[in-house]
Amino acid sequence: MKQRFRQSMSWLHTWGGLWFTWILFAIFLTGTLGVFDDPISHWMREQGKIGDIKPLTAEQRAESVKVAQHYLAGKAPRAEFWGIGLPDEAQAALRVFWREQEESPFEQRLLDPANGRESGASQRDTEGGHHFVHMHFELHAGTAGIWIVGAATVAMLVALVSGIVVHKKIFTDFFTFRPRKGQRSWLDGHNALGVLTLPFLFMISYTGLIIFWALYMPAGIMARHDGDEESFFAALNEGPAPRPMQHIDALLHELSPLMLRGEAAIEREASFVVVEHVGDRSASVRIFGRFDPDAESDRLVGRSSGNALFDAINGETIDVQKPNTVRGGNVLAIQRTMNALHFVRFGGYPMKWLYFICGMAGTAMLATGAILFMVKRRKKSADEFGTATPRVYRLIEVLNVTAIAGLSLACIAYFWINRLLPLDIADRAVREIQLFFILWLLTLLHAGLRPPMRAWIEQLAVSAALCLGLPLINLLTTGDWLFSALARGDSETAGVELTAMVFGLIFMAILRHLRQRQPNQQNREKSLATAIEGA
Amino acid sequence: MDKHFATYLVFFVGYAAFLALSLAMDRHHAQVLHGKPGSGRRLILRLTGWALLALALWLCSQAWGWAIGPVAWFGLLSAAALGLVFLLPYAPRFAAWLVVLGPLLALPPFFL
Repeated sequence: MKQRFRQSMSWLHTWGGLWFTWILFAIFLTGTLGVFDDPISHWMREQGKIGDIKPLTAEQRAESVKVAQHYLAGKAPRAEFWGIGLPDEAQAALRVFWREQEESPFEQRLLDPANGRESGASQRDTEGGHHFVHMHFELHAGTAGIWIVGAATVAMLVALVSGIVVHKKIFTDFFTFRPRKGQRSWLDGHNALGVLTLPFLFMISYTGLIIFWALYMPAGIMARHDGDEESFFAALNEGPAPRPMQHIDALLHELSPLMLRGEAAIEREASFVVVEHVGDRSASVRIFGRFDPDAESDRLVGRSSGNALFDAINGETIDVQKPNTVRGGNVLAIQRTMNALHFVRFGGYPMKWLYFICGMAGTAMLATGAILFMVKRRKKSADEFGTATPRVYRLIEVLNVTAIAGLSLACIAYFWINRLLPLDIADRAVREIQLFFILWLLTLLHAGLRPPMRAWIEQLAVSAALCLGLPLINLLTTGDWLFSALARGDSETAGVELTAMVFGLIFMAILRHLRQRQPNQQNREKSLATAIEGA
Repeated sequence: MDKHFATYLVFFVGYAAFLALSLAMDRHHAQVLHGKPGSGRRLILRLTGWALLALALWLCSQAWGWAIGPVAWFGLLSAAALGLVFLLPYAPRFAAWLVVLGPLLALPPFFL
C-alpha cells in the first residue's frame, strides 16, 4: 500500500510537474526579477543620471491640479474617468488620463506642470520593471492570464507535497550534493534547491493564490451580490455606496482646493487624483496619498497610502481612509498581511535580497526538474507514448530550451531593447514588450531547428554575453556607466548591472560544464560505435 | 539591533548551525575532517547545531520582532544552507573555514 502510494505520488510529481514546469519557470523567474522592479525601472529610465527631481510644494501641487483640470475640461468635459498623476521623483511631467466610456481605452498625455502644454516624455518611455511583474501574475494576458497562473500555482503546491512524499530521504540527504555524476547530480541539485527553500516556496505559492481570492473563489459574490464585485467590496469595506450615473448635468467643483483638503484629511501628500462621471450630478473625486516606503516598514501589515473621497459637485466629504488602516474586519486584515508577505512590502533591502535568492533557488529547482526529466530519458527511453515517444521527447526538449534558456535570454535582452530602441517611436513602451515576446518566439524557433545540446549552448552563450555586456551597452547608448554610478553612490543602477554580470558568470559556468561534458559524450558514442563495428 | 548587521549575523549563525549538523553525519564528516565522528562528538555537534538554530531565531525576533522575525529566520537559513550545500563538494575545507572567516570579514565593519 505504502509503496503504491509513493509510486502514484511519483507519477503525479513527474507528469503534473512536467506539464506545468515551463509556465511555472516563467512565473518564478519574472516574479523574482519583479522583486527589484523599482531598481530595474530606475535603470531603464536612467534616473541615476538625471538625478533626483525636486519634490513639489503644496502650492505647486495645487497649481498642477488646476492646470490638469483646465486641460481635461477642454479635452473630455463629459468623460467617465479622469486621472491626474502629479509629478514625482520618477516623472517630472504631469500625467493626465481619461476615457469617455467605461469600455473605451484610456487616453494619456504628458503635460508641463507649469503651463499645461503637452510635452514629450522627459525620460525613456518604458514599462521598466513592471513588465516583469505583469508577466509574473497575468502573463500579459489579463484575467485569462491570472487564471492560468492560478492553475499553475495549484500545480506547484501539488508538486511540492508530492515531491516531499517521493523524496524519502529529506534528512539523510539534507546537505547532499554530488557534482559530476550525471543524472545523480541533477536529482541532488533538484532536491537540495527544493528542500532548502521549502518554507519560502510554500509561503510564496500560497500567498500568491490568496491575492486573487475574489477572482478565484467568486461563489460568495455570485450568490450574495449577483456577481457585482463593486457592491461586494463596498459592503465588505464598510465604504460609501457606489454612485451610479444620475444623468443630471452638474458643474464640476474646483479640484485643487479639494486636493488640499484631501491632503489635510489623510495627512499625506497627494500623488493621484481621480474624477468619475465628470459633468454628471453623481461625480466624485478621490485624492490618493503618496506611498511612503519607510512608514510601518517594520510591521507585517498591509500598507496603504490613504485616500479621501469628495462629492465633486458640492465638495462634501464622503469618505476618508487614513494611510495604513485596513477595513473589512479580520479576514481582510489577514489577507492584506498575506499580500505584504508575497510582495515583500516589509524590511527593506535585506528582505528583498532574501526573496531574490530564494526565488532564484526556486527557479533553478524548476529548471533542474525539467532537465532531469529528459536526462533520465536520454539515457534510456521510458517509452510512455509508444511509437510517438521520440517525437514527444523532442517536443519536451525544445520546450525546455525555450522556456529556460530562451526566457532567460529574452529577459536580459529586454534591458538591451530598452537601450537600443529609438527614443522617439510611437508607443515605445509597448514596442519594448512586443520585442521581448518576438525574441522569445525566435528562441523557440531556434530550439526547434538546432540539435538539443547545441541549442542549449548557443542560447546560454548569447544570454551570458548580453548579461556581461550590459554595462557596456549602457555606456555606449547613454554615456553613463558602472563606475560613475558607483562613484555617485547610485546603488540601484550599479546593482542592476552588477547583478546582471553575476548572472553572466553563472551562465558561463554552466557553459563550461556543458562543453566539458560534450567531448566525453562524443567519445563515448565513438567507442560505442567502434564496439558495435568490432562485434 | 541594526537590521543589516542582524542579516549578516544570523546568516553566519545559521551557517554554523548547519555546518555542525552536517558534520554530525558520516558522509559530511568524512568530506571535511575524514573518518566517522565518534558518538560523543556526534552528540555535541547535534546539540550545538540545534542550539544555534534556536539562537538564530531569537536573534531574528530581537532584530525584526516576532512577525517578520520568523520570515527573516526561514529566509536566512535557506540562504545559509544553500551556500553550505553547494560549497561542500567543491571546497569542503573552505566551507568549514568560512564559519570563522565569514563573520570576521563581514561583522567588524559595523563597529567602525
